[in-house]
Amino acid sequence: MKLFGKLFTFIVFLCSISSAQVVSVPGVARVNMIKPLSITSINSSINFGEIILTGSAFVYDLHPSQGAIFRIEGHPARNVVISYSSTSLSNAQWVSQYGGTVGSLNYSPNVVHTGSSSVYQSPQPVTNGGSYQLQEVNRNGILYIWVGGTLNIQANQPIGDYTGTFNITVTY
Amino acid sequence: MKTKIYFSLIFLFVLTLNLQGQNNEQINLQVNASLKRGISVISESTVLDFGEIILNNSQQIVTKTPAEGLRFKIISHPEKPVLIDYGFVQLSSNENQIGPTFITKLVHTGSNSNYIDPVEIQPGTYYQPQIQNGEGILNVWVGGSLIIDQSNLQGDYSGTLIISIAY
Repeated sequence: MKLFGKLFTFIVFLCSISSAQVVSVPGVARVNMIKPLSITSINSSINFGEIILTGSAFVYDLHPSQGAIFRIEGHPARNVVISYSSTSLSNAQWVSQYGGTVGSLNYSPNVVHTGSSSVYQSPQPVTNGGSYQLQEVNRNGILYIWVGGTLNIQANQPIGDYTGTFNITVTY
Repeated sequence: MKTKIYFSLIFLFVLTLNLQGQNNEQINLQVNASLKRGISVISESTVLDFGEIILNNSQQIVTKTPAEGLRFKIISHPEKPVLIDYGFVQLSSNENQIGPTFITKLVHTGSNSNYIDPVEIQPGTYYQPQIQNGEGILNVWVGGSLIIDQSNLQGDYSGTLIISIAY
């Protein structure tokens, strides 16, 4: 009987040891699946066309509705940060072909969005580094961006075909 | 100790998911602008003078070839054609007496300022200036015929010849 008592005590002790090693951790696995961002250009370039020089300095304006259109697609109702910058255009390639003087031209973009509308209506200004909400269309987040801008043409601006690269970045 | 490890793993897992939730897309587009030189004209001479003509009792036609007439130089954008237009001129006297009619003849010699290989210019037609140091050059020579009717009276007559040049 005494031996049985000792054995019972030993079993209880073992059970208490093993139960002390079972640790229950309350955890919830969560994941928010976000649609990847994409930006596509509907136009192949931002084209100011032909500008006849007058011998005086002037600013030439390209309205956003006549510039380039970009379509941003991503997660519905999610905000995206839109970044872009001014750029410099050069006529160096044209001068190498026809002669003349190499010059540069400062391009300042004018960016607006029309929400999920691919038609230019009720444009809202888009500032560099600003945050804008993608609008839901068939479980997609959509934003149409329109880019025009201005060229500051100097009085003695060299003639030629000027080109440069405009860069736009969208981030969640 | 194990509890801490479990919580740390969960935290790292959540952190990893958040990092994967960030997304960045970029696109480049070419910006183009074609700056064209405005057209300018330099006149070497401005008066086409037929001098004195003795009238007789019949129609006379007095002609000056373009080489003997006026020359002006068009400076424009290279590779961009220019539209040249002109017409005839009705000369008149200071007393508004209608005089002879001047029928204009224009030729060009490209970038050559000498009268070599002239090409006749038809009114209302585009012509391609020749490239010279990043400019488009066209030397234009103006001659023509003065048609004097037998009814024209003696006197000094003049008229303005308008030649328009445009892109």
